[in-house]
Parts: sequence; C-alpha cells; structure tokens
Amino acid sequence: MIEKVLPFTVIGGYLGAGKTTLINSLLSDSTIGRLAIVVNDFGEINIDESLILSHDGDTISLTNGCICCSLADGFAETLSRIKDRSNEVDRVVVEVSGVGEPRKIAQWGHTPGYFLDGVVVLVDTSTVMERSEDSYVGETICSQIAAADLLLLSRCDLLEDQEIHRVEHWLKDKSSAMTLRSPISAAMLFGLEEIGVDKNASSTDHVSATVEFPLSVDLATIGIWEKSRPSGVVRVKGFLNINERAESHTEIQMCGPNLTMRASQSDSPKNVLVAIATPRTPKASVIKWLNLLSLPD
Amino acid sequence: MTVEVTTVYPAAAIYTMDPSQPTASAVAVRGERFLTLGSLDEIRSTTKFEIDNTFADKILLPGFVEAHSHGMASGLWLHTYCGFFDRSDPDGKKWPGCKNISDVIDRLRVADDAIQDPNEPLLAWGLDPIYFSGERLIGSHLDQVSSTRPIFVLHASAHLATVNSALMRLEGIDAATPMEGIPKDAEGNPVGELQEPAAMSLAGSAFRSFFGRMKAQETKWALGRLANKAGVTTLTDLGNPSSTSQTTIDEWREVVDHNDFPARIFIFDSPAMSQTTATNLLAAREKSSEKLRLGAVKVVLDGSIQGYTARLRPPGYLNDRPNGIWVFPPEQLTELLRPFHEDGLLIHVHCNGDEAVDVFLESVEILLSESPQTDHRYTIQHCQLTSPEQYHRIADLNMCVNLFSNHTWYWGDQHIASTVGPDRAARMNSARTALNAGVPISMHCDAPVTPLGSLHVAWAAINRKTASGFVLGAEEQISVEEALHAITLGAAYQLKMDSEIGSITPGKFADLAVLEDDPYKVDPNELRNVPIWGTMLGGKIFPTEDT
Ligand SMILES: Nc1nc2c(ncn2[C@@H]2O[C@H](COP(=O)(O)OP(=O)(O)OP(=O)(O)O)[C@@H](O)[C@H]2O)c(=O)[nH]1
Ligand SMILES: [Mg+2]
Ligand SMILES: [Zn+2]
Repeated sequence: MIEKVLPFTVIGGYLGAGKTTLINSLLSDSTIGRLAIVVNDFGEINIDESLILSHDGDTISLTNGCICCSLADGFAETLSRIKDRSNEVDRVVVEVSGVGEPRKIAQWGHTPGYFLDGVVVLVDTSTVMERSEDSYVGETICSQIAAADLLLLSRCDLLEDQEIHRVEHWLKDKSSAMTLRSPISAAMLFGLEEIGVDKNASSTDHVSATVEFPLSVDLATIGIWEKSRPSGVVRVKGFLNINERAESHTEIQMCGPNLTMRASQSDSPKNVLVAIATPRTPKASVIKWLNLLSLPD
Repeated sequence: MTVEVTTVYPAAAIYTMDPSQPTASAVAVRGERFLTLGSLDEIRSTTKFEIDNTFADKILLPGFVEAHSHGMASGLWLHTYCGFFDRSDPDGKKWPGCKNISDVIDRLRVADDAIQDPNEPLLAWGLDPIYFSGERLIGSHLDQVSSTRPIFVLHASAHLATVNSALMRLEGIDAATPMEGIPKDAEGNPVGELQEPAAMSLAGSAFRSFFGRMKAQETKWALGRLANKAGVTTLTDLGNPSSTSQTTIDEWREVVDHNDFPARIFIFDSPAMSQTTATNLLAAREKSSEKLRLGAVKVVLDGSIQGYTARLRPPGYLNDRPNGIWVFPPEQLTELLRPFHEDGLLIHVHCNGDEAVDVFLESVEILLSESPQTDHRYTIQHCQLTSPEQYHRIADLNMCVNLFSNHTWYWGDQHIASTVGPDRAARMNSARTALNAGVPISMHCDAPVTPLGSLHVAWAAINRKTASGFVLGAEEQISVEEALHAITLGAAYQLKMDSEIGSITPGKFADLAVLEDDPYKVDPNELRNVPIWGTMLGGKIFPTEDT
C-alpha cells in the first residue's frame, strides 16, 4: 500500500488581511473534504459549539470531519500528530501569523507524509499600498507578497473597481504570483481532488477544463508548455507519463506559476490534466493550451 | 518556640552594595536572612552568636542576580559541547573550545566511544563555524566519526544542524528530498546541513531526543549547579509559555523549593505564545514561593543582530542587507500589554535593534498615559543599539535596561566586520550612556546563548574587549563598582526583588557570592577569572563541587 500523502496549503498575509475569514469559509464548505486546520491559537476560528465533537487540549474535532490543531507544541509535533490520523484527513491548511514568513512555514509542507500544495497570501486591498510604505512593517508585507504562489485580494467588496485595478497593477511589480479577488471557490484554492470528477461542475465562479493525452510526453515539452500558460489559469492538477521518468507515473501540480512534479500516489494509469481558471477566462483557450502538451515538438 | 541560632561569618572583605554601609568585615545570619553586619566587635555588642570561619579568607558579595537567562541553559549539557569558546558544564568539567573542524571531530570521536548502544544517536551542540575562517563542517566530516551511528550537531545559532550520512540514510534524507534548506553537492546529494526547524526536524528521532531529553527534571538540578558555580543565587527563565500551568509550576517547585537547590528562579511567561491572560498570571503569582517566582511578562519583539533579524533603524545593516523581522507585530504590542499593565504586572520586552526599542517605548508611552503606574520597572531586554536620545526617553518613562554586554566579547569582531560596522558596534550595549542618562541598568548573559557567568558579564562591560583582543567602544566602559552593582542590586531591581535580595542588608535573604579574590583589587582585566568558592542561599552554604 502506498502511504497517503497530505496536501499542505499555507495561508499567509499581514494582520487582519482575512486569513481566518478564509479558513472559516473553508470549514463551512462541505465539498472540499476533511481539513486539518493548523493555527497559532483557536481564538478567532469560528467554531460553532454545537459542531464540536471533542476537544483534547491541542486538537478540536468537529462533527463535519475537520480538525483544528494549535501549534502549542511546535510544528514537528503537530504534523506528526496529524500524520498519525492521516486516514481521517484529506488536506492540511496552515494559518501563518500576521508577521510570519509564509515561505519559512511552507518548508514544513515538505515533511514526509505531506506535500506543499501552495502558498496563498491574503492582501487587504483597502490598505496594502499605504501599509507597504510603513517604516515598521512595510518590508514584512512586501516580503509576504513576494512569497506567494497565489495572491488573494480581500475587502474588494468595499472598493470601487478602479481602486482594485490600481492595487492589482501595483502587485504585478511585487510578485509573479497570480492575483485573484476574494471570495474564490475552494477548487481554485486547492485544485480538484479527483481527476475527471469536477465536483463543482455546475459552479459558475470558475472555469475548468479536462484533457486526456494519448501519449507520454517529454520534460522539454512540459518546460515550453508551462511558460505559455494563459494568465487566467490558477491551478493545474493531473497525471502524466513522462518519457524521462519512465519508471513511474508522475503527478503534476501547478499552483499559480509554480509547477511541481512527484511520483504518483494513484493507481490510475491515466494521462490527464485538469486546469482551473478565473471566471473571465475563455474555456477554449484553456483547452487549447492543455492540448499543446500532446503536440509533437 | 526555639530561638534560631545566629551565625557570624567573618570574611576577608564584604562588599554589600548597600550605600549606607558599603563594606564590613563580618556578617551575621539568622535563619534565612541577614541579621546585622559590621566588625566582629560591633556585632558582639548587640548579639549573641556562634562564629563560623568558613569565609575567613574569602570575599563576600551579594549573590549575583541574572535577570535574563533561560531554563534550558543546563539541558544542552546532556549533549556533547563543540562550541568555539571554553566552557564549563554543570558538574564543573571544563570543555576546551573547538577551534577548527578537526577539534570538532576529535571531540565527537570521544563522545562516540562513550556510547554503548550502537544505534543511539550522538547529539552535540554549540558548533559555531563563523570562527572557522570559512571552513564549513559538513556530513562527510561527521562520517569520519562514525559511519553507522546517527550524529546530529546543533549550531550555536540554533537555526541549523549538521548531520552525518548514517543519520540521512536512517531518516531517508537524500537527493530526492524536496525541502528547501538542505544544501546539495554537485551530484545533487545533500551535504548534511539542515537549515531552519522544518529541515532539522527531518533528523527524526535524533531531533526528537535532542529536545525531548532536555525536558527531564534532572536538568533543573543541573541549572542550580551552573548557577552555583557562577556565584549566581537568583536567575530567570525568561519567557516560558507554560508558566501558568499547574504541571509546570509543580515540576519547578519540586526542585527549586528543595532545601538542597541553591538558587531562586523567576519564571516569566510569554503571553504572545501562551495566550496567558492577566488573570491567569495573577493567579500564578500567588503560587510563588520564596525561591520560585511567577507572574511576570516577557515579549520578544525582534530577532538577533548577529542573525541579521533584529529590527534596525536607518542606516540598518551593512551592505544594504534587508532589515530584520518582527517576532511579534509592532502594532499589537500595546494591546497585548494593556491587561498586564493595568493589573500592575512586571513587563520585560526583548528589543535587540533600536527600531524595536522605539516600538516598545511608544507602547509604554500610550499605556502610561492611559493608566499611570508609578513603579513599573518595565525593562528593555538586550537593548543593544539604543541611541542616547532613546536613553533620554527611557529615563523619562522610568524604564530600565538589561544590556547584553557579553556581545562585545563573543560577537564584537563580527559586528565590526559584518553586521553594523565599527562605529555602531562601538556604541552597542552602551552602559555608560545609559548610566549618564540616569537609566537603571543590569547586564546579562542570556544563557545558554552565552555561558551563565555574572563576573564575565561585568568584565565584558568594564573592558569591552572583543575575542580578538580589540577594545570596542572605550567611551562606553563602566567602572568595577558600577558593573558589580548592575549584576546584583541592579538586576534585583528589574525583577522587583530588590527589597529581598541584591545587597547585604539586614532583613534581606542571606544570599551571597563567595569569591576567592577581591574583585575591587584584581586587575579589572582579570575580573572574569576570579575564582568562585560557592554561594550562600537563604543562610545555607553551597560550596561548588570542586571546592
Ligand atoms: N468587508 C470585508 N471584510 C473582511 C474581508 N476579509 C476579512 N474581513 C474582515 O476583516 C477582519 C479581519 O479578518 P481576519 O480573517 O480575522 O484576518 P486575519 O488575517 O486572520 O487576521 P490576524 O489573524 O489577526 O492576522 C474581520 O473583521 C473580517 O470580518 C473581506 O473580504 N471583506
Ligand atoms: Mg487570523
Ligand atoms: Zn533570551
């Protein structure tokens, strides 16, 4: 039996940027499986008393299958406890402290039994430009932004489109990460769990496309293909047979601009990719891009 | 009711730190406290007593007070020391510094031979390759010690570890390990360095036993022995996130309250980590004993200067290196401290860089204007790059500073060359400027960061020598008298324990540092080498094990 490997998502961003708000929305979303939420303290997590199944100091178990873990004993200890119950958990989500460094925390996502599934950094659209100039915390904010695979703009509901545009434009200089306006679907945040089964098929808040490939591909082709990603594509997930990695089936993950490949945990021999894109992205362009992989070079 | 015996200790000299009676030739102790002092004749005229001549040829000072140390200072000695500087373990054994990689290998070979079980990991600490002129210790060096036993060596910075091939094989650290912070060689194989906690934790069972073993009760006893050897009778565990838990308190009291334990310990909570409330802390304070103190707050605002993580004001680090990090968000400090301030709890904040000092000062200004506290003694810990202008603000706010004077010796040369340059290095830990501004000072070792040793700390502030022998910032030197005051009454004041300890004054606890030489008469350059005979704590004599 292949050992289960848990996806590990880091949620960073400055104080009050909306990290806990995002986590609370994930906790109430029944479509995304059982989450293990890792936080510094339980204080702000919106846990409805009636949903608490048990509370044993550092871990709270909820009736919807999710668990919340505090970091009182440190990361190594907390991750080892989650790994012990990995058959009850589908994914780990970590909230970084407001002055914490998301990239440093992301390192823990490479602990055996886990894989790093991306660094999401929340940006308070209404204050970020001003605060980035603050002599005390400006550098902290900018380095968090630079650490992101995906930037998620919060408080867009309070702003005019023009102001949001201004911030989006400004962020382009700070980071190569994709910028999305909050709220977004969990699928965009995490990708889809099972290839070929688009759980949110009816959802209108993102575009998704699936392509199967008849042949195996070269690493070089992937290199070229990766660079031509249409700007709306947020997430790619799937499996490929790669000529240079013939000994095993390869799992592909793309979170924002970051592509990762690792030996597949799945028994399925499929050669298939799913891409998820922002609502305004034409689906045809996404399919066309995916198909570039199967073109002979 | 039995009348307690009064014992009089004549001594070669007694320096009291009490301004109304700075010296004496004998001191009378009844029970746990000083009864009176003066000459033998003066004491005889008022009191009946027995004479104890144990200290007849010794020099007595108030027991030294270390207002910034950590409980884990002794636990590291469960593992093999391989630092650059000579250091003594809790049992008094002297460990010469490892001056190069081959010293490290030799040290580890001896330790390897001493472990019977071939699978037990060899754990070591204190490695400081910045002194090895560019040479870097890697896994293949450690393979020369053992190709079968896992070896884990924690560096002095505590941010990285070096491990051998046997450990990497056992834990599956190899070319395919995806984690950052694991440098690889030209062939793509890890060289045996694990940077930052996430990578270090891949050392699996060695990593767990390194930190796990340090939790043993025995390490608390060892802390007492370390203190005793340094003449320290009161020290701190500055920042313990579980200080209000009954288990923690019971574990500490079991050791510290024991008659044979030679020191008082003040445990500060770290509410930024523990989420402890002021109410909890007040309740914990009620559980204090004469020897174990609870109910104070420590917050860490920034990182360290030698690690380039302290927050500096312009011009910042040399070579335009980026500024440091906030360990706690500056704009939340006032909010964090407010409940503790309002309940009159003592607050100490770690600020290495001058920008962090500004943040703490701004918070204290707000808190004091909201609700005045007349005698708060809020203390800036480390306070290494503080400017004269900041010292005036500190004085205006009635705050104290606890300086990290050992830095001049341990990192002074690095500060000149790499972190802030000679000009700002010369004003680091500026005790003279602080005293001139009227700010109450103390000085600390931050054990285990530098060895527990008040005389060394005083020596460093008096002489300001770097390890290469250079005098760094002569303008900031202070006198022997000022330095000895800082490591006794000065530190007691910052712990709000000065009415009980810190000077040899009738009514205070009979806590003494017993020295073999007179610190006022030796060459100030030799102060750190004055031998410590032992201590007295609450009237009980504790010779060091080698005496
Ligand atoms: N209007 C609006 N309010 C938001 C949004 N996101 C977060 N907030 C509010 O902003 C405040 C802070 O949000 P949190 O989710 O607690 O922020 P955080 O990043 O977890 O904050 P810290 O953990 O303190 O660093 C809360 O009152 C939220 O309700 C948003 O998109 N729109
Ligand atoms: Mg939060
Ligand atoms: Zn410290």
